[in-house]
Amino acid sequence: MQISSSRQGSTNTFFLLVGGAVVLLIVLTLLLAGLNRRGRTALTGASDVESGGLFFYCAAGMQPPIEKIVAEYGDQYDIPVRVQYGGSATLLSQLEVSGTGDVYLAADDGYTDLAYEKGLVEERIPVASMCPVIAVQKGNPKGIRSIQDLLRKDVRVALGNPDQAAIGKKTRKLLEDAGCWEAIEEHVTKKGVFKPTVPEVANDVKLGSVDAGIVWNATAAQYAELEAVRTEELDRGAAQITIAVLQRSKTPTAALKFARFLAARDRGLEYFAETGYEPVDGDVWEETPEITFFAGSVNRRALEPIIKRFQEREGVIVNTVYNGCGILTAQMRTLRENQDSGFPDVYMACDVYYLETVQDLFREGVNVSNTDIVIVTQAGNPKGIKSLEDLAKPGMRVAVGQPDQCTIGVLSRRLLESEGLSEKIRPNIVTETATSALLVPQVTTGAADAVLAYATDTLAESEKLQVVPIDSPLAAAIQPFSIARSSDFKYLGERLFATIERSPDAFTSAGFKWRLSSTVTEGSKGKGSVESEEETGDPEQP
Amino acid sequence: MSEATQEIRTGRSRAGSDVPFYVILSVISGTYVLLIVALLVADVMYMAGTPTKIISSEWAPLLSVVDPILAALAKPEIRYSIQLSLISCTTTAILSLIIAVPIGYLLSRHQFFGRNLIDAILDIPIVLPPLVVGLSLLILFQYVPQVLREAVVYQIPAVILAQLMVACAFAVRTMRATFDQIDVRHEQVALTLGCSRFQAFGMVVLPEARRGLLTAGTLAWARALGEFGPLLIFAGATRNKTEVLSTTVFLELSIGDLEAAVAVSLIMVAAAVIVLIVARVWGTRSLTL
Amino acid sequence: MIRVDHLTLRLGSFSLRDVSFDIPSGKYGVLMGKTGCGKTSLLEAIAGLKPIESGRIILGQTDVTELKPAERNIGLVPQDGALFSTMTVRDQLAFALIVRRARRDLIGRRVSELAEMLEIGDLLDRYPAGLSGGEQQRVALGRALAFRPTTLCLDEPLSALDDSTRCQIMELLKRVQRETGVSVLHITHNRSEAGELADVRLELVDGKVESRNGKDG
Repeated sequence: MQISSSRQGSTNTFFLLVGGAVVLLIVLTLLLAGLNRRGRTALTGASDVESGGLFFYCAAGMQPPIEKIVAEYGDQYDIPVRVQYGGSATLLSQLEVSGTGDVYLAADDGYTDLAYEKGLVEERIPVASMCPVIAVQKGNPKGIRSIQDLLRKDVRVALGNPDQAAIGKKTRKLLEDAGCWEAIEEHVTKKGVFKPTVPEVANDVKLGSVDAGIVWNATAAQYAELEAVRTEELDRGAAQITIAVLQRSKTPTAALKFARFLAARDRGLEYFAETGYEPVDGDVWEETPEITFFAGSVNRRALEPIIKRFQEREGVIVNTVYNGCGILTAQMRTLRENQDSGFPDVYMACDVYYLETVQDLFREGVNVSNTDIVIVTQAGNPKGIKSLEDLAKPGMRVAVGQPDQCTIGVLSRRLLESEGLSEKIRPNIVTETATSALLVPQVTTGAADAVLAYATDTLAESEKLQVVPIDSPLAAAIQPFSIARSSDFKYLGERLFATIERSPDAFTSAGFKWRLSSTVTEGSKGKGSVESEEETGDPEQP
Repeated sequence: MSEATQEIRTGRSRAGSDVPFYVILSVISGTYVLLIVALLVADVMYMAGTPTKIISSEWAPLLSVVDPILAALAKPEIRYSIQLSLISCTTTAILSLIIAVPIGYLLSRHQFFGRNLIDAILDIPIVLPPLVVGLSLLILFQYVPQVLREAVVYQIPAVILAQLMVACAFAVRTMRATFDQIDVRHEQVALTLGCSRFQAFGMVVLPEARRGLLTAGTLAWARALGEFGPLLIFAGATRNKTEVLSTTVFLELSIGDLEAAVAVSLIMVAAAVIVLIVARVWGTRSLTL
Repeated sequence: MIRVDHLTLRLGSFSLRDVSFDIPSGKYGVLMGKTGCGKTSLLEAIAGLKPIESGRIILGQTDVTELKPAERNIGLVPQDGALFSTMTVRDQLAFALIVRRARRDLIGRRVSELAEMLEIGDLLDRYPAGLSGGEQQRVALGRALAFRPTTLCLDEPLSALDDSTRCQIMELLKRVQRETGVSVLHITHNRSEAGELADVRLELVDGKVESRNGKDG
């Protein structure tokens, strides 16, 4: 079979080849697109879990912004969201009892924290904050200017019920702190009224059935007929509106997607802003966000299952870039904090050293795990190595990581220098490897008698090796997790961190030691900003 | 006295035997081929004798060689990785040919101002360390419109682009050498016979360049398969998305899982051998004159 | 007719300046010259494959100076034939007609004609690789004549041939030229060829073409 035809009217090979190439390219592109789609569904789990709509427990005072958000979401994504309004506490008991529902928005994070502790909710996303004020009719006819004024005989007051509405609970707390709760409670019971939701309090003031009520500043702003009076005591009571995804939701990914929409700075939060709330600096909205995760290669085994779970649950895509940390930091420096160009949203380094070199680009890191640096030698310890000093014995062949090229190199050098052994061991060093992965093979192949390597590297071939621990606080690499300052998905990053926090097994089975607190059921962890280093327990202990 | 009655002497060769010549050549060639085979055998032996994960029966010790490979193939991510590798390498090879043929032809046939400079530029991707290629691509794409950036960086097109940068350089060199060897006069005669430049190229030059095309294509394919440095940086190594076999090997190695690294390497070797043999056989059949 | 007027051609280290000659229609012209003096380049220029600095080239009744090689109606037989290595003899003979999109039966007839004229009928399905020098020249000739050009240029067609083949080919050339009536420009360094074949004798000396008519080959 020839390409140039022997028939009359032979074809021009050029066109044949070009045509063939084009056809092949089209076929290949289609194959790639198909592969991409299949990969995507494998990444994010079943793609369309969103039939049937969502059920939303929502604190009553939020109705104005929520109505608009739900309408827009329903229009855009054709998913009906049924909303049940009520007092934050009332809703909480309802959802506890009913066992159905997808999302819960409370007027204060105290409720969502409680729900989390009870195991009723999974993810919590901050939305906005607000502050209690005294609402009076426009013009303040009775001249109410302080809490004391509320106790006047001629002033009828409405308050939210502390057992039903967030405003009620908050008011009680603030007034308790101010020392006048009992007086007020008595006053309101006799001459005023407790209402189950904050709009009802506001309405009462508006209608004139009471003279004043304590409501949220945002609520007051929604009523043209009302005026807000701020007081020192009330100003101390800022509340964090938080939306939470229910544990028992049958469509958690869909619920999360809606929650993200609501908490997105260019979607839901805009409605909150325009109705008088103070929104947080939420994530940017994307239907299927893609975030970039730079991680040192050593972390891969531990991170892979965590990332997979995270992607499936959140319906997001995490682009992972693994490499030696030196290269990763070089990449970061050239990308100049432009997430579009590929600068990471989150970063887990092989050691804090490599976070310090780019610390200005990231929020403060949280130490997740550590892996010990140990001496590795052949099984049976033929050279009788007991400590670092033994590496300086004449005739000992030692291999270490190259200090400029890999984390283990930097840390080994630091360790040896701290023990004063750097110069003594130097004549014994037969090679400096470019990555940690190449160290253990030096021992298994007999090219070196001992190496300074990560304990995790010895797992795969433990039968052939003997591990000699090193007694020094510097004999460990500590892996920190941090979020980029420039990321548009900081809250998503924090939820990724929360997933990591809940997965100590992934790390321990990969040979790492866990550093985060082992009891993660306390309410305050896993939400809010990851600002400070959280290291509990003795770092030396596993 | 006639010659016919004289005795005929048998000539004895005094020149040395040819055997040493062939021995030396064979030894050198054989050593190198054996070295390559020895590498593969060493890898296989390494996997033998390690505890099996999938196969559990009396056959386990014998099949322990195959076990890590089966374990790897069982994972859907690895299967995705294989498919992506095969498809992307083939795409890269075709694109490389499409680019290399015109460039090779121009460089071969025409003396133009700056030809040496262009020559040197075309060699740059081969000379640059792979990591630098990846980093440079990343930097370049900072200056590109947003839409393009989002479609490429850390997505599948990045895999192809990164592979292309290096593979194409090899294809260009090969095609240039190929065209250098095709007599210019063939095209010239074709022109006098009534061909346009396109026809002369397509009907006369390209058929004669078929072997070179096949070589360039398979070279580019093989190079693309082995490339991982630029990919790690420019395309990331996201499972089920941009992970290819070469990045899998590197990453398994980095966490010390040599067994898995070797297993995937052998899968790569198998895939490469199959594809290259098929290409050679099919290509050569159509080339026999 | 093959006519060249004041042709100037740059050839790297030297140039041909102000070359003029005329070979009347249907006549056999032989251009002699030492090896390396620019004969081949002159031929290429006439065929349109090499750019000229100044002058005119007239083939048949047409000034072809501005025309592409494909438009000059010229058949070229390079040194050693330069056959297309991937095509059968049949395909090479048919090539010019295929490019011109001639009808299948027309092509078939013409190929048979050429095969007969050049006595290569039994080579039609062979590839160039297996052909002898003489056979290759025949095929090259056939390829060049397939589309009935008005001009035929031959670059040292006989240099690589042994004596008996050379005689055969010379006879062939004479016969072909007579039968087809093409104007021929035959380049060689061998004077005896000029004697045998030429109606018009020319010599390229020091960058100039001089007539040698009337002299003995």
